[in-house]
Amino acid sequence: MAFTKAMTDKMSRLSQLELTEAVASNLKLDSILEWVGELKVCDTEGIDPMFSTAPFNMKMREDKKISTPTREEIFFNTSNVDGDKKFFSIPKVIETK
Amino acid sequence: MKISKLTVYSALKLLKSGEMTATEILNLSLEAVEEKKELNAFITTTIERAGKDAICSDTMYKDKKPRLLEGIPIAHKDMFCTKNIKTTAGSKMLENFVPQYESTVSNKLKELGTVLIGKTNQDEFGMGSNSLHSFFGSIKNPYSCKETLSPGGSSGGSAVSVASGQVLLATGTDTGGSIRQPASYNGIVGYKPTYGLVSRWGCIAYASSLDCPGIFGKTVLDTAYGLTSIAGHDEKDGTSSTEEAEDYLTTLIKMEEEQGSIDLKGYKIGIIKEIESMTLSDEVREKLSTTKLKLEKSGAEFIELSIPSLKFALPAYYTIALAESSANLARYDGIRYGHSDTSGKTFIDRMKLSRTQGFGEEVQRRIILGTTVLASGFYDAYFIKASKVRRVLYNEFQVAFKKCDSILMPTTPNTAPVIDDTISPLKEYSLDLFTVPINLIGSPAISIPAGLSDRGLPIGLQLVSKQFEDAKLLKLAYKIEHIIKGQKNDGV
Repeated sequence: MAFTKAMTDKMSRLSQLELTEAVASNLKLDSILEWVGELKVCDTEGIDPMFSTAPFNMKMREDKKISTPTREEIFFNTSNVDGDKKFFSIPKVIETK
Repeated sequence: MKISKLTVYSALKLLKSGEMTATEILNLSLEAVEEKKELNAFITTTIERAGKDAICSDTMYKDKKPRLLEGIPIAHKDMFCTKNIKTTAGSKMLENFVPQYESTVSNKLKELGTVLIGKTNQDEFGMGSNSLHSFFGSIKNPYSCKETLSPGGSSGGSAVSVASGQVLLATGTDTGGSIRQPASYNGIVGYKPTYGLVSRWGCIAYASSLDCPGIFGKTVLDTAYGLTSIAGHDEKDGTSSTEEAEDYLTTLIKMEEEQGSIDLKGYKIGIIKEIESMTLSDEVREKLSTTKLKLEKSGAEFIELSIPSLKFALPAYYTIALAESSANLARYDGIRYGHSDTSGKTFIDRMKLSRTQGFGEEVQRRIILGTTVLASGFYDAYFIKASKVRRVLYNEFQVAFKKCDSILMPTTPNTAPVIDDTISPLKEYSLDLFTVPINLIGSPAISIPAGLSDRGLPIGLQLVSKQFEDAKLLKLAYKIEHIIKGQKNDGV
């Protein structure tokens, strides 16, 4: 399977990266995808996929009050904060006519 | 006295007897850090914090209340979030990130009296096998002579900091071999615990079903000190095991103190027959064979095992790891933390600009491929197929573990290669041939030095056991370490 321009554009959009065709070609994506495609010769008939090796079930945590980070701590690593320092700030996402 | 002459065990003896203070050991460590600067093992050094830690340790010894690792100089891979200390994951994306919380692993080690020397250099977000993909420059293997050799990766800085005698213990993370492979290239011990035994909380995520925090040390006993400190349930990590951590240390300390004769009578060690036909350098092949003979002479019985799907482990691993990494790295939006370019007019533009500038080439490659194998139309053929192969491999290993105590295999197909920044991705991925299967099956594994090649480069061999048999594995590794005597413990 080859990384066509349409595919490059789609993956670029899905992963929110600026990926030009030239960059995609330099990343050698075709050869890696072809290589992982070798898996198809492995017989997995009747086998369930395995997503984790953890042999234990996740347990519910106790319903108790725990301390959470303060606003100051949450905003410590960003300057994208509104004037009142209460919310993250991003450009408007609602389009107006 | 040089810190390179010490181990955790011997340093603790000196500290307990009062022959040395924690501040004196810290000074030796800082001297070595200064002396070995050109290796580029550290991204950040924490000299002020180390001074305070050492003074605290000296007080604890004075008050006769030393904790398990009181006064031991340690380094943390820059994947572990450390409160108010910059944590970069080797990436421009987190170049200025200062966590406001402490990872469980670094917190436990702090609470047990370690002295933090700094945060170590690494491949960006743990993605790499040569420590070439760091925003903060590549790392040099201390065994380099005329040519610069790879320190391995991704935890290259941690491995080098221990091997070159800058610290006595270092943390790392092993998603596909990132502890064992650099341990092998640098002639030290690298321990990857059973998945779930050590908490991942506060450790920057790469591939969540595979990421495994672990330890580098000069000896098996030193790594047992490290594992004892970091193992155990953590309610903040949903995949943390609720099983009680075993005692990894008492038996080993007893054997160390007694210095009695060591044999392997009664042990069954597995050898995987498929490895014979896999890509393996002559020097590693020969070391595996001579080690087998030595262990047989010491009473071990070798059992031939078959893992037919071993050849599929590498592509299965990369499919799964890349898929998980593309999901994990989606959190870097250029808004809440991390590199931020606000020149774009829309939210999407800003996010795209920040991510494209913040991530290096290898990370972008893995995100794009991970996104592809999870995309509609590819999901079943790639991600689900690889996850099925993972179960096939897991089942084959479980059958094998019924026949033996542990499996002996090469850690890497070769000794440390010459650093080559034109290496193709597939060639770099192939360096993980023998380490990734173990992450897919969640087992514990330890790489121990088996001696040097004819060219004087370290060769590591790994022992692999069944999940949660970490204590048994460490005991066997300790015995093998003392039989084959492959270490060069006085630093490079």
